[in-house]
Amino acid sequence: MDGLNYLGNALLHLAGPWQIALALGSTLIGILIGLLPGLSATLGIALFTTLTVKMAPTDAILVLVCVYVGAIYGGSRTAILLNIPGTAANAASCLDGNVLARQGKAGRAMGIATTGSVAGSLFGVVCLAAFTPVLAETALQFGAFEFFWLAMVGVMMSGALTGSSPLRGWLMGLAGIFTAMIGLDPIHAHERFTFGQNAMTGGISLIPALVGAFGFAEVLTVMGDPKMKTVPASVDSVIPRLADIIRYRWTILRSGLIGVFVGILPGVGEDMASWSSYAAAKRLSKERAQFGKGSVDGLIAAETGDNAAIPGGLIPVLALAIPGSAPSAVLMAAMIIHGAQPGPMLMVTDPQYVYNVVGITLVATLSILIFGLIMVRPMLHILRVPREIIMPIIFVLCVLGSYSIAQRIFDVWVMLVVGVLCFLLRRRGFPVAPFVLGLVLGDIVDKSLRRGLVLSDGSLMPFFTRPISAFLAVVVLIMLLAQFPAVQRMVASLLRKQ
Amino acid sequence: MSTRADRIDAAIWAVAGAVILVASWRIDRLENLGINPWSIPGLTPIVVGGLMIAVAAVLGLRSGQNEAAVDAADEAAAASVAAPGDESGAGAALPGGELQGLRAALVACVICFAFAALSLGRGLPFAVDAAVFIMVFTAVFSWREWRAQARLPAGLLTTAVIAIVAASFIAWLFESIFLVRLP
Repeated sequence: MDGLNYLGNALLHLAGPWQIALALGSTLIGILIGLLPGLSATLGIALFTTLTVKMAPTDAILVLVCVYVGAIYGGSRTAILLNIPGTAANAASCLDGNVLARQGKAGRAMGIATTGSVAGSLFGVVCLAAFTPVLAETALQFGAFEFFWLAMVGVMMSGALTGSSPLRGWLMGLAGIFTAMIGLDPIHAHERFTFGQNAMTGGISLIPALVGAFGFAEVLTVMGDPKMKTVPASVDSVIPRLADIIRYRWTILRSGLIGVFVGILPGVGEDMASWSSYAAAKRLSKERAQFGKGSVDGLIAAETGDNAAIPGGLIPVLALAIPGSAPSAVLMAAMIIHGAQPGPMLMVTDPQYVYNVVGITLVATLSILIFGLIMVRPMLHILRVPREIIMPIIFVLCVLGSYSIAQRIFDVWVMLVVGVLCFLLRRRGFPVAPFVLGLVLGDIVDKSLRRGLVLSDGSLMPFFTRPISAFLAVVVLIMLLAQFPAVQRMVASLLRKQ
Repeated sequence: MSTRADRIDAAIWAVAGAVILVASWRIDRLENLGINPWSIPGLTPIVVGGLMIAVAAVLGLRSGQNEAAVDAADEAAAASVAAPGDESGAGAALPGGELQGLRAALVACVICFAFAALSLGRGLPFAVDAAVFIMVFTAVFSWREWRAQARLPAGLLTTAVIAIVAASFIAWLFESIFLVRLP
């Protein structure tokens, strides 16, 4: 009952004209960011974190969540019309969405994408409201041992699932954890890796590093890629059909569940949710043969999955302070900048905040429904703006965004160095998302490991014997062992025998 | 990634891990403050450095196994001509498209560094600095296309207008709305 009161208060606040204008404006910008191939949801949230520093905390989070939801939704437009996913989360939508567009059903495909996105987000919002308090209550029993493993699972899962090689992902995750340790040690305030530079004692600020990793690196990647021809297909009616919702209700429900579950997993993002939902739909669909040839079932599954993962990813952010994906990691950093303390105590100290986020996600979902219905054609004009004009403007925003947080030129240098390194590493096949997760979770890893060892007087046993710790340690061990070909062969032969 | 690239990457990461390990080992253990030895500031970085070396070693070892497989496949296909852009052989050149892409990214990187690291905060107002940057960036990457389409003056003029409007708007937004003292 308290939850409903909190949600009512949140929605009442969000119904103000300023908040509605902010929600619509930022969702529109989010959709435009998602539409433009090369610009990711993470970049959008990182840039807007710097733009909203001076705003009231609820308004700032409203803007950021709307940009996030808008970007993931917007990416489906280019996936359908151009066969280019606007964000990584929309890659699965290309398979059937673009085929439908080439069959002259671009409007229908976009209507289906809108249906899936809205249904997925709404399903996720319900789960966000229902599961966050439960998880937070459970997490109150977590100690340093559990938080250490949770953070490690986050970095390792992200490393294992976001790139082509888990080993490369883990190396990036470790690099992120190390970067988080530059500056003053959080327990004894002793300088680490500062080389005697005053500017380094504050550590590597998260936002300039993220703007570098996803902004400057993206500018360089886009300029280095061959130029794409952006000729959108013609668009028929985009109004979602009620018949589609009824016919594919089980796909929507299943994909929503998968999306939320994948979102909750630490370190796994919307793209994995989208592919998992698509794969499950393909396995269980009656129209299996249609998949890849313009299947409505496939498109609706992909779009429901990725959008359901957004609220799903916010559940561990709010309840555990462990982000589910790179964009939610940036969102968590923004929450901290605005004075919130995500984690198990948030439900105790400020339950209203959790329901504000639930209300905000609901408002963002309604905003994408509005824009999905009325703004498809005008929004496509953004694709005509050449990248040679957009990219320098993005870079100017990256520079000012990094600078404006603390008004230090040092942060601009951080953005530049991290950007160049991430660009080079990405070209060598090293994914950036685990680096971000490592950067965000490095502090938890450091504090939890040392606090745990102090509590156990140097014994590693509690890290492996406490029930939740043991479970998480087994997850990490399985991920590690799966890398050895001998283990892979053994598991394969065992499965064959069975 | 090719096996050779994997080996090079593994070596670089192993060296980075070793540097972190040594640097962390040398961090003050604050014994004079009587802190718990399990809370020394260098403990986690030591673990991170060690893990980095271990993961890099596995990457290197796996590339060795892959190389054996590649060698066997190469022997089987000895008569065939190497595919263009094949990176598995020693000294293989980058494909033309990739090289061109790298060159474009390098040019973009140089212009961005010139703006953010060398020109920013050196006396020019931010809006002017940013407008010049946007114009130079766009002109450098569009020059060939404009010339081919015989619209060089029009392209330059349009870009100048866009650059001035965008830079002025961004400067106004940060200075007047977000109250940031621009560099």
